[in-house]
Amino acid sequence: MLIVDHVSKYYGNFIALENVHLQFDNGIYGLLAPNGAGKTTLMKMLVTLIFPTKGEIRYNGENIIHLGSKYRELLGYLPQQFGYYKHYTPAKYLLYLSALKGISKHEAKEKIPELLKLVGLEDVMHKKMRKFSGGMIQRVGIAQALLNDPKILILDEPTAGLDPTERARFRKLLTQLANNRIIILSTHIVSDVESIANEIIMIKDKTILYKKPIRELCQLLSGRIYETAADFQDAEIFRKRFATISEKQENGQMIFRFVSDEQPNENWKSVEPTLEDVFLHVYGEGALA
Amino acid sequence: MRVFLYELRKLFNWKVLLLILFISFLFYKLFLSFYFENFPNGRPAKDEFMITKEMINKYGHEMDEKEFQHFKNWYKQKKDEANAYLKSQQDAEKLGITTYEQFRQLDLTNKQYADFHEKVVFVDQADVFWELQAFENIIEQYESKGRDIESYTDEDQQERVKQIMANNDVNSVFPYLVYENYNELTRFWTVLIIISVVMVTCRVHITDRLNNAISLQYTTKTGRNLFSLKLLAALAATALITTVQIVIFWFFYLGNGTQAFFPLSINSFYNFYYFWFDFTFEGYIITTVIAIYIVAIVAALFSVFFSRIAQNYITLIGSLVPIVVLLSYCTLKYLVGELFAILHPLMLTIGTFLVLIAISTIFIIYRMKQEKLVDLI
Repeated sequence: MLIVDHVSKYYGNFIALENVHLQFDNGIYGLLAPNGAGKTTLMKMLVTLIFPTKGEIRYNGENIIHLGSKYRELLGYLPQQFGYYKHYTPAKYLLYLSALKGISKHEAKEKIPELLKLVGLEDVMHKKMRKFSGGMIQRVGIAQALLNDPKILILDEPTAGLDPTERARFRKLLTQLANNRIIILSTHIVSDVESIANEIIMIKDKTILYKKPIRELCQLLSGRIYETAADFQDAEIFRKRFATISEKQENGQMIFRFVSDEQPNENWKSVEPTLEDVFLHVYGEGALA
Repeated sequence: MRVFLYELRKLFNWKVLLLILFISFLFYKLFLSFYFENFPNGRPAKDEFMITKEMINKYGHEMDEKEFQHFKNWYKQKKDEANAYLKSQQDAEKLGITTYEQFRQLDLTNKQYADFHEKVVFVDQADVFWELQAFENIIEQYESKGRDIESYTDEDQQERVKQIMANNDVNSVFPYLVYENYNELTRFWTVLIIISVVMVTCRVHITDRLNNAISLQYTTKTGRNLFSLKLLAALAATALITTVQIVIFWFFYLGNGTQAFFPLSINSFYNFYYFWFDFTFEGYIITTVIAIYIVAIVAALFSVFFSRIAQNYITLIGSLVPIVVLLSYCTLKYLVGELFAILHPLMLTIGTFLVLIAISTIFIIYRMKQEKLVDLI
């Protein structure tokens, strides 16, 4: 069990995170927040790249800083900017990282082809990464995070650069892995976590706003989401009157999705809220009451 | 061990090695080749070199007063050879030159005399006239040994000269030209080593930073200990580069044929300077090799430190250039060049070594401590 125990992080007078308290058991956690909200700071504290100013993070009751390499041995991490050497092949780079992770050469040589196959890079495992696309690089990043069969897998924006097929494959992979490990996945793309996360953590104003299963989060807006069509000429009036969370064009009309505490019109029926509704409402219009 | 080897291999990038090869070639052509291709440089240096070698065979490592008398007789025989040569020359007879003493004191502003002198010395290259100059230099130096004590203003220096005069080392037949040749070569070669070491080791952290690899590396089991492993890799690379450079140096240097002088004391009447310690030439060589390793390690420690804190290559180069310049200056002046010669105060040399070692070590220890505490934002 991983516990973030009332952790704060300050840089001088700047507050990066304030009094964050979280508990993680095995499963997938989606850390959802817009850029700059503090998710990377939290991720970096979880992987010991930065140290809390207040509070502590414990794994099975022990402070992760004190655990040191014993903790990092259990860790798989994909940073937001995955670093690599352009002149290395994926196989060579993974072999290098396996040495850093303390994996024996023999074991690494068996595991690397398997992992590269898992992320669909088996055909290019001996090609230099110089000419790889962003998606291919990201897949190398995912493979390296899994090298040591981590008990805690922390992925910062892991789907950046992946195409829809790769995203789907990645989500499937995470679901398979989630059985006996903690997976914390930071993203600002709702669809990345919507179908797979056991719980969503939302950060706002440098602290944790929610940590709930998706269903419970959606219930917060239950009966308050409405969807209706309006003519283009009425669109501006509509926007002013209602707290719209999304709008799209369909069959020559505007379709508005909005939040309202009361039924604005007896003909309009409320619709089921989605995680995206919650996200857009929270970060677009302020925290839910 | 695997991480160490990976880091070591990462340092030896083929592009950097090619660049070092190119710089070494330039250095060789600009500063070094002269001292290999022209040793001993002209005459009478060549004659002095041959005569001092012959002196080792005749007298051993030192020449005492009795042997000096023998040497003077040898000189006399050479003068007789010169006289015989002059007598055999019709031109000499016409000009009224019958002895070496007359030849030596010729008024070279007189065209006839100048032409004759030119013919004997430079056109015919009569060996004996060159040899006699070498003999005269040696005799002059032997007879005036210790007289330069007044040129040293410092009491410690004067005391050291007195000490050297009091023991037999000063009678060593070690010639200045062997020392000068070795000194010029080693000091320039050391600058090349400093540059090579810095070029290789400065990449130890900066490449990871520029490739965004640090956050990934520091979250592995190795974690923040990677700094120490990288430091070890940089030091191993330094040892490797320095050793290879020294081996190459020796490959060339042995061609200069100075091996006969290795067991001789360099505190000789026939050397440029005296030294703070009682070195034989081979002892001095070992000392300079140790000095070269120290300078190379100091350069590597600074290089590793700045490689870790520099944000990009421009700031890294900006930080390292003054250090390379300072180290090279000290190397050329007294850290390797003229090492422990008494014209530089002993404490200046030892003090500079200690200060350089202390500062570079403090920098590294400070950074090692920081590595354990610093946030990697």
